[in-house]
Amino acid sequence: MNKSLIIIVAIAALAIGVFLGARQSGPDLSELSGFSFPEPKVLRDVDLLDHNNEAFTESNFKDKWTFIYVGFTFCPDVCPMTLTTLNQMYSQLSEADLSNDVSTLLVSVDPERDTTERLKDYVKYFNESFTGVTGTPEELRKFAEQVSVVYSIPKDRSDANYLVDHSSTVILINPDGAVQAIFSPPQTADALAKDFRLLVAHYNSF
Amino acid sequence: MRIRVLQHTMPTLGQCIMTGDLIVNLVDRFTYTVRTKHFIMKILLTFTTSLLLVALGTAATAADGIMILEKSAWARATPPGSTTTAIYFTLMNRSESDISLSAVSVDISDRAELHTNTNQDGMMKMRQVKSITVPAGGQTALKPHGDHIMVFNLKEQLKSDTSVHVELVFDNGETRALTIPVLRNTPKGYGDDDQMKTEDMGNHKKNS
Repeated sequence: MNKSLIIIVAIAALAIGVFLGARQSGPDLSELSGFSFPEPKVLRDVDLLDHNNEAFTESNFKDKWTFIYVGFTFCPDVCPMTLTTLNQMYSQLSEADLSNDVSTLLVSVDPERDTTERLKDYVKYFNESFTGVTGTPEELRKFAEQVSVVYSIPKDRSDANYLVDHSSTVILINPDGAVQAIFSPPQTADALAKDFRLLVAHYNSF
Repeated sequence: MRIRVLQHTMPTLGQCIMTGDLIVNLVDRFTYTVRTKHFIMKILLTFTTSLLLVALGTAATAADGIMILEKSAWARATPPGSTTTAIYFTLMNRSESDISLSAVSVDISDRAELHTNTNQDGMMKMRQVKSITVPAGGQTALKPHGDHIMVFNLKEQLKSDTSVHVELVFDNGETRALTIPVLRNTPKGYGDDDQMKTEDMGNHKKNS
């Protein structure tokens, strides 16, 4: 009787040990250039419009990885710079056959000037697979908050070339539709691609 | 840095005259006819004068403080429909006092401004600035996410492999004109000092 109890305890201990060992065998995230959320928050109530004028909701994030950049098309410096970086990263992932389940979004917070048509031309210039998304000011505000992005449209928009202040972060959404990681500027294609591999491996280790 | 090398090897005005005199004296001693002497004198005079002119010319160039690193200059190609772009380059100040870039004009638009980006309150804030200072003996890089020339009102798409003509005015009165390439991608290693150490633009046409 005592003997079998010891055996059961030993097996249980072994199982727990194996389980913990497996958990810890995931990749080391301490080397990430970006910040990874320990408990990714699932995006909710997303009600936006893609560049083909089709509804874009939280279900669009399911079962794939999504890189998001929040900006506007009249932006001359950081937006084209970051989209170019995202395109270079995408090429690196393509070469490694990792881009199949990756989508990239430019979310314009400047719907007054950025029509879906304009957005389409703009994103496709950087990469045919990129998607432009926008929405009503209210829906954009709600979405930005969930991805930790802040922006500020000037009150005085008499100058047709007004500029929008905005976080120049890149956000990574995991296949559960949750905010997995945030990368602060200036981002590089190499660091993003490296982090992406680590985060995917980490995600798949659970 | 060809100019600096020239400066070191260039004889001073005094040296030119002294050398000229010495040679004339030597020539005096060994010349048989006045005619030959006259001829040699003429050659020497021309030689000394040209040396002087070169020395003066070199001094004038050295007095100019601003130098643009040629390979660092580029303008970003634009997506269709886009009416804004940015221009980047690195400025070096060889003088002993600060010099500021105070005005810019381009041939692709009627509106070009000096802008800077600051990361503040979690946002990239782009603002127009009156000038961009290049510290004495130092350099200032206009680059993505930092200081740059902002171009508005583009009339047509700016395509890669074309070029933009840029004119710069500095607060010490210096002007520079340069033609820079339009690139679609951010140059590899941009901002990496090793890759930016390239020939200077001392030979660039000046606009004075």
